[in-house]
Amino acid sequence: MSTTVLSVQNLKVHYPVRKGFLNFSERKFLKAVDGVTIELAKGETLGLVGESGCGKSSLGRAIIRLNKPTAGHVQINGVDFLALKGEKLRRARTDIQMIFQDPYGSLDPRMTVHEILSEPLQAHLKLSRKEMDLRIRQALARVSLRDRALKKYPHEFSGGQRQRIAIARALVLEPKILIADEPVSSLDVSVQAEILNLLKEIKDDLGLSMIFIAHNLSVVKYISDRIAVMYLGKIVEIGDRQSLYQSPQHPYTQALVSAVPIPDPKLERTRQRIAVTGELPSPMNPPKGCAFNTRCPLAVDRCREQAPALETFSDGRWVSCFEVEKKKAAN
Amino acid sequence: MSNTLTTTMTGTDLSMDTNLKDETGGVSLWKDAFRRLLKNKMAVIGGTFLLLEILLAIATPWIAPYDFEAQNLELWVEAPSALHWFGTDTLGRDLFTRVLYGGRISLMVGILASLVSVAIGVTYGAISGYLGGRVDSLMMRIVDVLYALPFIFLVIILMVYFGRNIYLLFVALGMTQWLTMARIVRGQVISLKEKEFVQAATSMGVRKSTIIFKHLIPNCLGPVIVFMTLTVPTVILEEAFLSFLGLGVQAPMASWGTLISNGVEVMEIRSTVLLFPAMALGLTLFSLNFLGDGLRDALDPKGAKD
Repeated sequence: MSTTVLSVQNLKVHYPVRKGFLNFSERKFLKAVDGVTIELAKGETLGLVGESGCGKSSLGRAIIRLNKPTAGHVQINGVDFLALKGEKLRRARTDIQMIFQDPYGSLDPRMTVHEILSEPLQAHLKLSRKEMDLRIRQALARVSLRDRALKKYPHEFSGGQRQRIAIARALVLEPKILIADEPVSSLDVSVQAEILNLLKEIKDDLGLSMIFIAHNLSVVKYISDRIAVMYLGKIVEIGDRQSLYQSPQHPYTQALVSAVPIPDPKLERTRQRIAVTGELPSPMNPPKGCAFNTRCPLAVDRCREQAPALETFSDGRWVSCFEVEKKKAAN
Repeated sequence: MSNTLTTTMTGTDLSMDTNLKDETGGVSLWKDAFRRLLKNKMAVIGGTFLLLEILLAIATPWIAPYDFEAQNLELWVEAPSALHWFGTDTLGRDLFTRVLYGGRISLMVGILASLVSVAIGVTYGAISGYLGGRVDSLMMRIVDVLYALPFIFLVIILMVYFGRNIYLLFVALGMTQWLTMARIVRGQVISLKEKEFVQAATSMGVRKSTIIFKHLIPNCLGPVIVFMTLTVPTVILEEAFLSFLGLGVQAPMASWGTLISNGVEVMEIRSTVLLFPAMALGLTLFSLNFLGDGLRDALDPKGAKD
């Protein structure tokens, strides 16, 4: 569990926003991802949580180069992924695959399942028809769909089945890293569990590393080894799944964790919620100082002036909050 | 192999698999659209009429009762009779034969020129829309400039430069018709390339050309087919216009356009000389429009009621 397969350093994704007539006025930037550093070890699943618009999807898409990162580095197995161009980039894409949120949009409606699954193989490998068929059937079996699905079109399947097809497509090239962008949030709750179990099983079987993006904390807790919490384009807390849930440090994480319902009515009644008040500030116009200061119950004057850095709190745990630092210093 | 694997898995997903009616193969969106098209009466009538016309056009040399240039000046603009079903024209030629031969030319011009315009327009529009940015701007400005040129001017230059030739006419008409097609396809492609399946293909490392030809173009064929059914009548009319100017089909060969312009000359003496070719053209245009309407409804998944 020690070799790093993916390392993201100070990644920034800023979208230019046009304002005013003919671009005469100042150019503004929407800072979707603003300096994120994460490392992913072999076989590890990193959960990425945050509310809508916090930049978690932008981060995932920037890593896989669907969005153009503004600054920063992404290394896959030590290779600078962002420096690759043209044919080299195309080849390198086999190592990192993505599963999309919407299984209705991520499969071409005019292709049969066979065509969908053969596409990545055709793009990268020169296989005979037989070899190709074999690999497609293996991929399909891995997501437990039957062979006769091959001749069918995506619209003939349910949402869960479509997501299985999408997973099979992501696996057919045998990638090392999988980025799952809210793969279960558009599915039924009962189907969500199936897909989660499937992902977990496949990940363990193949020794994949995975970045799992979601806004549902229970889902992330179930599947992840480590969890990173994002707020307004920055990581505010990152740590081991168990300890992060048991003792969340950042006030935002505390609020998130306290918002998870407990599936036991007696305990649920005693659950104390830390309510986060106010709206999420616009990433176009983030607050000065700590991004969370407008909604933070602990905010003091310093938080409105300076932005805290992500500091080590304990073993493998990083928190970005002045109050937490103070507490740690007092101990 | 798959049986043992599937039995180890549980879940609602798999039980739903057995509920699917179709056991052998999939129902593609095209088949589905065709089924919907068959429910539209007017489109079916239009389509059948067109099919019949095309068959007649192909069979014309064998079924035409007379030679299309055989003149008989004693039979000057005769009324329809048992011998001459549509009557005769100003040179005593059998009008039925001439309408059949005219249909051959008109339909051929319509279909081939439309195909030329589709081939150019779809490729151009798809590349422009997919690449985006500066390339897109440049390619679309070229289209704007061509739009500004009067098409007749372009055709005349082509015809004068390369000589009058029926096949060149197809190309010339096609080359003036692809502009709108390119814009339609570009718009479609711009919206399609944001779709997740295109992004999925990009992130999988599929080549750009493969993405354009396997994902983008097949998914915008619906509007293309609909627009093509509307291009065919436009081209037929333009050919009639060019023939009228003496740039299109040369006598004694005829197209519906030249037959109509001949008919206009004797319209006060014998209206049938105008009426029959005009009816042939009119019915064809109607059929194409009904078929186009039907296709648009059938291919638009949002309009699908079943």
